[in-house]
Amino acid sequence: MTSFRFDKGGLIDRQTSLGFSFDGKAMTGHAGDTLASALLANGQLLMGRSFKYHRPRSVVTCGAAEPNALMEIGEGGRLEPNTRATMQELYEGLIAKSQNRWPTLERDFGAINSLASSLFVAGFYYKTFMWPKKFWETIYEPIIRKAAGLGRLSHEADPDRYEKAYAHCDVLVVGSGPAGLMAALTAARSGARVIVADEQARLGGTLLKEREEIGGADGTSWAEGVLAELASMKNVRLMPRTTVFGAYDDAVFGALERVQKNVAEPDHNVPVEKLWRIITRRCVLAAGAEERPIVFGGNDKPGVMMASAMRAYANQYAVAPGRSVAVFTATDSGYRTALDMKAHGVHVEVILDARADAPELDTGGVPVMRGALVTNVKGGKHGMSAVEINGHDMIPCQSLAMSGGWSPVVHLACMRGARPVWNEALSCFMPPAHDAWTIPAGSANGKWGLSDCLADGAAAGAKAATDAGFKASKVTVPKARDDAGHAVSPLWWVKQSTGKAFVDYQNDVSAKDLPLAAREGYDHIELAKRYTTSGMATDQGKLGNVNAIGILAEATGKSIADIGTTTFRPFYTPVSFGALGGQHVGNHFQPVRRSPLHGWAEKLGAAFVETGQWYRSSWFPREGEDWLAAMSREVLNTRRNVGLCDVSTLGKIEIKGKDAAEFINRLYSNAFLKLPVGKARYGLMLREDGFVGDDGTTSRLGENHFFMTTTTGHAAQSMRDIEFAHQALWPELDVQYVSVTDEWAQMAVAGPKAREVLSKVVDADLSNEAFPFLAAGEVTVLGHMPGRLFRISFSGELAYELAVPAGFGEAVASAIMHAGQPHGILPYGLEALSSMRVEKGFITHNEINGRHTAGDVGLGKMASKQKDYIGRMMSEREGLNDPDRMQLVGVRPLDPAKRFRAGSHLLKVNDKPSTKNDQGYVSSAAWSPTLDSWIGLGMLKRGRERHGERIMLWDGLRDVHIEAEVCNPVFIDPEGEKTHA
Amino acid sequence: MPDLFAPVSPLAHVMQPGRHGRALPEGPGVTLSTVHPCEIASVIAAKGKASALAAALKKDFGVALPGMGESASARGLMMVGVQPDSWLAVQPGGSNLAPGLTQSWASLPWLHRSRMAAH
Repeated sequence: MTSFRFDKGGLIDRQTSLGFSFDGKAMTGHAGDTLASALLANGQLLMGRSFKYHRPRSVVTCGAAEPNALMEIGEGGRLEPNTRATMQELYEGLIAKSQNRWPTLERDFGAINSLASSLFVAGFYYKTFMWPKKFWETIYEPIIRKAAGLGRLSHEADPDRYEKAYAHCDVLVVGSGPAGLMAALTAARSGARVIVADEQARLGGTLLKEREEIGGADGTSWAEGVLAELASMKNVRLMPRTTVFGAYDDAVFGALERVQKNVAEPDHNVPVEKLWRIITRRCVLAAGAEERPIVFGGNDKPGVMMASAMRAYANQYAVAPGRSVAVFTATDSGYRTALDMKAHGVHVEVILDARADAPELDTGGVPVMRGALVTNVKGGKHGMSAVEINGHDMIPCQSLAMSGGWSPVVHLACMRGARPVWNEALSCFMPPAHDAWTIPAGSANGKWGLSDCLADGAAAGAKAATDAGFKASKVTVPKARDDAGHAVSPLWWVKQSTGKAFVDYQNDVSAKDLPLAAREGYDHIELAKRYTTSGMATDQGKLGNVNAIGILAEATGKSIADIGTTTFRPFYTPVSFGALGGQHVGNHFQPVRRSPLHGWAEKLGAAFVETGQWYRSSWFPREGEDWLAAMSREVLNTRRNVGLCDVSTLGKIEIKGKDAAEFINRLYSNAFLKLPVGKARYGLMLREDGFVGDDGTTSRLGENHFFMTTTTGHAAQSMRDIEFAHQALWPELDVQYVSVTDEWAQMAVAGPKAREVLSKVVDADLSNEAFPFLAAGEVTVLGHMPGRLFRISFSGELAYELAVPAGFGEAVASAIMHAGQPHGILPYGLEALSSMRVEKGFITHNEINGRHTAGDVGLGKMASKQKDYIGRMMSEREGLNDPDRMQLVGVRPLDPAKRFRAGSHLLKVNDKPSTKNDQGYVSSAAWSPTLDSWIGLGMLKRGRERHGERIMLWDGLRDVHIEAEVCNPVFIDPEGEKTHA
Repeated sequence: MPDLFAPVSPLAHVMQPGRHGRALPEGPGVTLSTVHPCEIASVIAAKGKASALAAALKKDFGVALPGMGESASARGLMMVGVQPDSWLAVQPGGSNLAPGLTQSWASLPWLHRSRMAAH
């Protein structure tokens, strides 16, 4: 391998050696290295295999745009694929592995693809693997995916912590190069709160990578001076290792801070990555410019590198890809590489200037060939040996620097939809005429000279501070040494190339693919991108896009301005799912909700069941009881004596206001306007589309004061619906509402002895005359506790629901149990509650599943004809009133011991078991201890006419066929005598 | 049985009082303790009555009604603006916030206090 480290120089700490491994091989680097620079220092030029042809690849850039040197970093749950070696700081113990090769990087079986590369043209897969169609998913795609692609995941859980954070400032400066630093300094001295974010570990931008002179000092020292001043100011926050990846509405920017990606074992008290939401008034975009490659034969071979990257590796990291260098350039800036490499003692063979009319520039004595085009590169996986000029001459060299022009990094200025604008004179896409928030500066604004960048940065900083409401302070722009020239003559493609010329390295898109796409009709840039894959994947074409646009323009005879760019979207560089998830993982994503009576139920040995976020007491087993035995005992005891059940999880909404009654009347399909004070009423809500949405009881506690309950699962949605109805539909109504679900512990006391028990706890006359069925009111409990009492029943028994402030729930539940002891009170859980409601034919969200109307569930007559309400109009649609619709029925197996489950199909007795013969389905099934039988509720076509009919229950999953009888869904006490007792 | 009615903290199941994370001076951390009891009430002004509420609050509690996302406190009562015309009234110590507010604002029939739990 040809790459090596210089004996001196660079911004690395040669006193600190760091051991790391690459593909199992032990290597060492220094503090201040990136993984890429350390690999080069160890002579490891070969860093990966390409996506499609498995060509050997080395690092080609020195920054965020890197398409080739993608690696897996870390092991186990910490393994991170597709990490750019150019952005990975070296640390002691770093473990890196190359990707997309098998069995090894050196001997890669997939490289056989390269031999058939003439077959793998754009659209190859679409064209080749079309027949037979069913083979695509089962055979072709899995094989293609295995052969192609990037890194792999470990499938282990990530052990590290991630966080989301917010930051507020007046001026956000993206980039800490010369323009960014001047902007930050100007804005900060004006008093604005400034954040400087830079994706690199060390701030300073290109001042670390280039040999510059500012104000008599070298560029790095000048940057250090400015950074020291900024760091000392209270209104400035410096954020290295922070990539601003997205621009959003209202001057909100997204940024990823890599907090601990530079250590082997992160401190668990600190996140490894932080996702920042930065809210600012102005953003100075000083993100710099990306150098463009030249598309020529062999431009992807190890040893070929961006000219600016070669300088950066030499100046900042003291490494070079080879001991002799040639420079292939279409720009003046390419000459800098020759000068810098020479200054570091690297032999520079020749400057190959594609421009026949190139200006006379300082070459430091290096010979220049004008009008020279590189047509091929001689070399293999371990480095190159020569370049071929104009199809015939060979010039020996170990590395080649290329410079095709510069592209301002405009992404953040374009993410809200504005397109960059082609500038013919500068040969680049410029940021769109800046919006109110983003002010481009420096080379991101097409300023190529150092003096221009410093001045432009200062001006942008002053404008940003002024716009943000500060009086801009005057900052003297220091004098800097400038290059001789900044001319560029774009060269999109060396057509005379004899080797394969790549436009997009990461996706292995060659120059010939684009004209092919155009010929096949994919001549729009967005189509060409998808057809050729140029500009896709993790680097999103940061290097290749402008060349691709240039080649497509030539192929279609259009101008570059007419072709335009593809769409810029967040993220600028990849962001891990870990960071996007932040702390919202596990129970922080789905929190556990516990009823105020959870502890009470726990003490009584309850088994809990997860229903959404809630944990509800499901049954209270005694020694040796399974759920069925416990539930049966609880039901029978409730029907015979009295039971206590926690119903705190029901959604509860407090509604008040002058127009509260009118508001509620419009929410429910049945009438509520004239509900008397002190009364509760069952209410049915429809969705806008006319289907049943939710149900519950609402009580009138005062003239303008209501208390609404919803089902447990639908509580949040009902609250949203209410908010929407008030804010969007009827803002004129004077009504206020607030969710109080968590504020009240609510318990159902049900059974023939419920009155006797509750009378000992509630200070009120509970006689049927004083507090009849559907009475509701505020009461005191045990002398002083505020409470609310409702005479409602979900069990069919004489029943009350008592609500007390949540913090007192356990105490009151215990008091009721104490008072109920002589009457045989027992707690009952969700299973018993469900069984009793099925026995009574009450619906829940098993039936309110979005497919049924009020008529279907037997409540059609409830819907008011006298008023308007949500869903009324749509509920009148013909299809929703078809007499053939399914209707709620009860089903009872002929053999009561035969168990069946919800979801079973209902079929005519002699029909073949098939969904084609569906007559309906079982929506709820339960064991009824009262009837000593399995029973169910179901939805059956014309069901109400079919009571008494024999029917088949078919459960295809469990192969269950049971003959059953259709019946009234109210299995017990159809007259409701017990409820009214 | 007065002891029977000691309220249970809603955090009783999850609360682990003490210092967590990387506590100072080495870096950020948090210290958890329970403010219990602490009463919280939702206060929502009726349509068009926010300024009248602000005046009443200033007079009886000396606290200015804060804007959305802001808070203000005086004499142990904190008001937190949570959405337009809507606040949380927070009183650590549980000194009967609800009746206090109710009495103070008895003359304002349009003020709506949700019933609160002693948390």
